[in-house]
Amino acid sequence: MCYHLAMLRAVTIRNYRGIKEGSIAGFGSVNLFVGPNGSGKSSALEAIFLGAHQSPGFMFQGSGYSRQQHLVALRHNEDQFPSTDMLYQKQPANEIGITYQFPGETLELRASPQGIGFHSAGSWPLVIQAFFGKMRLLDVRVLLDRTLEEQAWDQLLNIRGDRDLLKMMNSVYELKLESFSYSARTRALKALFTDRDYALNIDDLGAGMRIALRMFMAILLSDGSAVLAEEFDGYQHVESFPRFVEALFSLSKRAGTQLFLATHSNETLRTFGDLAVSPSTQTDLRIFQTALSKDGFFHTAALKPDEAQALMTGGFDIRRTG
Amino acid sequence: MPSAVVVEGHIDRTVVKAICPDLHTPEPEEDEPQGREAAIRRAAIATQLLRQDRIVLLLDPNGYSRDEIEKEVLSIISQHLNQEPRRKGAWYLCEHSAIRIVLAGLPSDNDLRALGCSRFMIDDYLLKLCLTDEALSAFCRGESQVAYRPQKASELESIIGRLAVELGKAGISVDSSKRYLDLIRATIGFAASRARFAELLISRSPQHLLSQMFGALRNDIATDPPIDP
Repeated sequence: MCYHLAMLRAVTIRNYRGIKEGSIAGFGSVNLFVGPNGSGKSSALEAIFLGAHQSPGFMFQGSGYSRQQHLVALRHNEDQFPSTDMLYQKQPANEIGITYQFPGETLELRASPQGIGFHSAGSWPLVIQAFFGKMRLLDVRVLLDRTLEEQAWDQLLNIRGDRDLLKMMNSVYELKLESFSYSARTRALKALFTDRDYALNIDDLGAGMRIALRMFMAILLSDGSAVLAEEFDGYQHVESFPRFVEALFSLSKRAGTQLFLATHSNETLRTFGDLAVSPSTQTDLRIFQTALSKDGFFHTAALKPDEAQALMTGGFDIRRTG
Repeated sequence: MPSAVVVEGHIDRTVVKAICPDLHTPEPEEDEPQGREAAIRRAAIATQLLRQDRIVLLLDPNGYSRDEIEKEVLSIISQHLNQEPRRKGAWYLCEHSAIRIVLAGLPSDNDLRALGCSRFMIDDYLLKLCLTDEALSAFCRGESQVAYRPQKASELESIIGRLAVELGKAGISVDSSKRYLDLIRATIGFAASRARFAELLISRSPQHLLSQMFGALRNDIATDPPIDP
């Protein structure tokens, strides 16, 4: 059963990077953003992630980021947060505005180099505070390095997320994992197999497995909140990919973690679509085609899985918006 | 210029790709349904995509009047979008997109009428092309495997005319260019598919003949009338 404590339904973005203005409405439990490079997918994910700015260790800086920090965002090199570079056309007058819509609650966030904060009257429900506090934004760099386990392995053990990780990794990749062990000295997560007499560093696993493991970790750690990820579908083998997606669906459903994922892959669209409509893995999936006009207007078209499938089998490439 | 041209089947797509190579003609997967209804459904659902703002729906009348086809289009689109599209000039306006119907075929062509064609479709252009000396000889020149090479198009026309009469006597009606093209393929011994036949016929025909045969259709497809007349 799916139990989202707080579920983001819609977001309006103003003056964030290339986006002058745009809205996305009708979010489901799992949301796939698809569109060409430069169509606003990453900016939309980042804009949503700005809501997490009050969470401890929130960091919005790319190069030279510290592994001590809790979260790392995508491609930014700003020395300050928020920075002028984040504003539409880099104009100081273009204050960033993000409106978040939850059922029965609308929150307005404003950001400029002078500061960032929510401008909403009254106090928010705890579930919404938790939503922003636990939200994670991941890109392929974070998915491939040790950031997540260094930051949150203890936290994961506290909820016995290690058991879920074992189960998922064994079923997706047909492994014989017995347990995980984190070495504080080497800061490495190790995998112990029933059929091997030695431990393997997670870093020694294939890239697809590492990405899957960290996606599962993020989903478990962001229970009741959201995981936003780009390039989560890279390096996956065609045979295990459907099982990986099935695991994303089942874990996110169980943890009540809303997923916002960006992709360029038809294989991903097809697999997500097939599994979302299949009775055994049925999921509230929404596919958002994205486009960014030259004058900064961000457009999205929301498709249900069956609609996206009909378009793809009918010869339309929904990754293209030009 | 339309953002996409949605067609009923392989032959229509082959023709559109040949005469309007710059236009996007979506190609459904092999096992996807073909035909008019499937094409209308595809066009309706495509209106939900970004930047598919002007969709041309190329249909074969195949014995139906324009009114009947328009009613069918309206009904299927309305069913799909849960609302009736607004009609403005040649366009059916959906939320972000507009659909325009182009009917293929040559219903007023005397040669086709003389052959007994009463259902009209994309194949009409191909039959007309095939029954020109230039296109027929260009096609046959490129084929090493055909069993029979007519010297003149009139020779072929006469054979298929007689075959149609004989079939008619047996109660088998040959009333469309599609059926005549089947007779032509059988007569000359062309073993590949109808779509391949169309593709080769077009690719080997001289450009001036293609302009003459398909010029009007190309204009109908590629030239969007204004949405606000």
